[in-house]
Amino acid sequence: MDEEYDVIVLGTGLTECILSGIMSVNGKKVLHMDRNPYYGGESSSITPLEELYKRFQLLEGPPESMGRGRDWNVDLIPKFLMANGQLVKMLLYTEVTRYLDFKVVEGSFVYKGGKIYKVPSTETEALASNLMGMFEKRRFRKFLVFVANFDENDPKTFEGVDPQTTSMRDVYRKFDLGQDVIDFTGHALALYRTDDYLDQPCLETVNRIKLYSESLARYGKSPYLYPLYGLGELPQGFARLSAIYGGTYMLNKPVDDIIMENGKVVGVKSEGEVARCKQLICDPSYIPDRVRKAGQVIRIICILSHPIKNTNDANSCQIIIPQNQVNRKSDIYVCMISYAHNVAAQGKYIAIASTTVETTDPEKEVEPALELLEPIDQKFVAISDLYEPIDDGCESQVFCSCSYDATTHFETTCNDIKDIYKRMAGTAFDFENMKRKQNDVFGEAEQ
Amino acid sequence: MRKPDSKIVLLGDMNVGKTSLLQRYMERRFPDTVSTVGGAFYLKQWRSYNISIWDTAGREQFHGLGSMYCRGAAAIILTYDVNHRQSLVELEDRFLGLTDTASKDCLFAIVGNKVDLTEEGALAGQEKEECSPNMDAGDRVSPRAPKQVQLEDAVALYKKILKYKMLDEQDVPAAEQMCFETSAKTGYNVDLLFETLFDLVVPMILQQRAERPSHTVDISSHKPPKRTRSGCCA
Repeated sequence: MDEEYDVIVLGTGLTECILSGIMSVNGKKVLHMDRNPYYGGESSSITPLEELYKRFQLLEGPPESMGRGRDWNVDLIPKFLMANGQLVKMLLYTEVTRYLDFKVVEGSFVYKGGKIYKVPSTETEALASNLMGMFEKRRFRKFLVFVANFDENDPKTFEGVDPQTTSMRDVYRKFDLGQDVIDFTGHALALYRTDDYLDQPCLETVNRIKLYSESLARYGKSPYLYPLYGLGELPQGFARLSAIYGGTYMLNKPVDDIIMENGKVVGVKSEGEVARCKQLICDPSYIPDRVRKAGQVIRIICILSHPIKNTNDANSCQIIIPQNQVNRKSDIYVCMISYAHNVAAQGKYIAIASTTVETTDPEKEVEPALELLEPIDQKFVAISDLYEPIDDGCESQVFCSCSYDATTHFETTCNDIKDIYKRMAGTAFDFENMKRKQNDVFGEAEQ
Repeated sequence: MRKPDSKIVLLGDMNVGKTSLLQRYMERRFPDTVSTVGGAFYLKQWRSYNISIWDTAGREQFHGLGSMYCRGAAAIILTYDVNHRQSLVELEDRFLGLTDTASKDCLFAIVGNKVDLTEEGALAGQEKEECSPNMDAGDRVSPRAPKQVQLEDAVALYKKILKYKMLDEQDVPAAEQMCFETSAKTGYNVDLLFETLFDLVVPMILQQRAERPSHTVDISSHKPPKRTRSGCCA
């Protein structure tokens, strides 16, 4: 330390590591620090299992039935990658894919009337599904064809719909879709957690349904991907990109102070030394006095010794419990992965139930999800505050990321990254900014 | 770029010459100054297999290596400088714990580099130097210091690693086979090091394929399908 950097990054969460990678690839001199001895911050995968018990203050530690502690990599936040989503694009443009392996999540299910139903992934499944009646299926099919053909740059595809003014409620009405179909479309395909979108212009919803369909078409089975060894591999992949382009990484490095002069950041003090910088990126935990609370999320990590009932023994799946099925405002999600993804010991499954907190008793709120998972070997309950920055960084040059929300994908995280990039660089984010600038794979096997 | 079949990683303190070793082998050269920036990932085709070789990026060495680096590695090259005993000590103190994420049957090679700078290495380097007409004649008569680290010290570390990993000496290659003294500068023993590991790794690839068919998807090679229909309920 005691050096000058263009950018100092504090915290190695996924958002921070992606930004660090982008800055390094673009020639900035980057110092990246984390107070923890591991990568990932709030988006890490905890290993070994003993550490998870310690983190949740279960002092007796794991029973022997849990197997080898080191076989576990338990995500703190339950998310999957949308196969056609922005994070996959970021992985491809940066070629961080070479450090990681992915599997397709085996199914997506939706809760209705106390039971779960598979979200159809093929036409055959759709025809056989009990989620809607036969006549509704025909109208729904017409609607999906409309969505697939919709091009916001080609008015001929609009069929009388104005993407900027027609509400989604009116689009549903146009296709004569019933309430069950509307609920399914909005929550299981467009992945909205509430019903606020109904009265918004339809363009965003159409694009979200497109994203789901295109992601599903990539591999079949479900629209989601998941990395072997857990989500904690993702920040490490991007950190390695940054390191290869000259970024300096220091784990286990406490941050004593962020030094401001005339309202602008000038450096970071750690263990008596000062590193100077022009800009600072950090997660909310490093600047608690410069963030505001914007809600809470509950996540209950459940260890099981069985697949979830009625999922056809899936090794991985998502279950969506739409909010109106359980008289809430926000959906409840379950993300399940297992030993097949090298995140648990043989024969073990990890299911994480999560939702936005709405009452003073959030554990009771997620009970409908936990009932689907019984019997549960062990539960770990986390209730996390959501933070967002107070200022946009233009004066202070301190750019704080937002906390990870209750969605089960990374689209909002990627939007946060793009927004921070724009404020830091002064130009709109372009995926081309992420491309490696030189050939850094060497050897005869290049293809 | 096709996914590699197997992964070998280099570990060791700064300035022991990891990158020089790799470049000597892959590019048949020894650059005057080496920075790992930009050159941290090599692919070697060995018989019909692709083997990736990972080097630490320059500044990851400041305590910045995570669990991903050794994840699933089939072989780890633990590198020290024969002229700096502390670099051997660091292998056990700082780097051994990082290998926990390697494959369960991971191989270990203990490599003492820079042997050309030692008086014992003078003879070993002599043969190579004669093939380098551009070599400054003065180098050959420079006084050389005795080695700080003996090969027996590396053998002792190898055996300590087997204990740490709870491996039986019967089930792994012999220490003498896996401890090398090299010179990236002269090329001494460099080919032997890498090709010994490649030969040992190939049967592991075959065994792994037989045991664990992979269901991973390669997201970088998938071509988007034509949009003749939407994927769901179409």
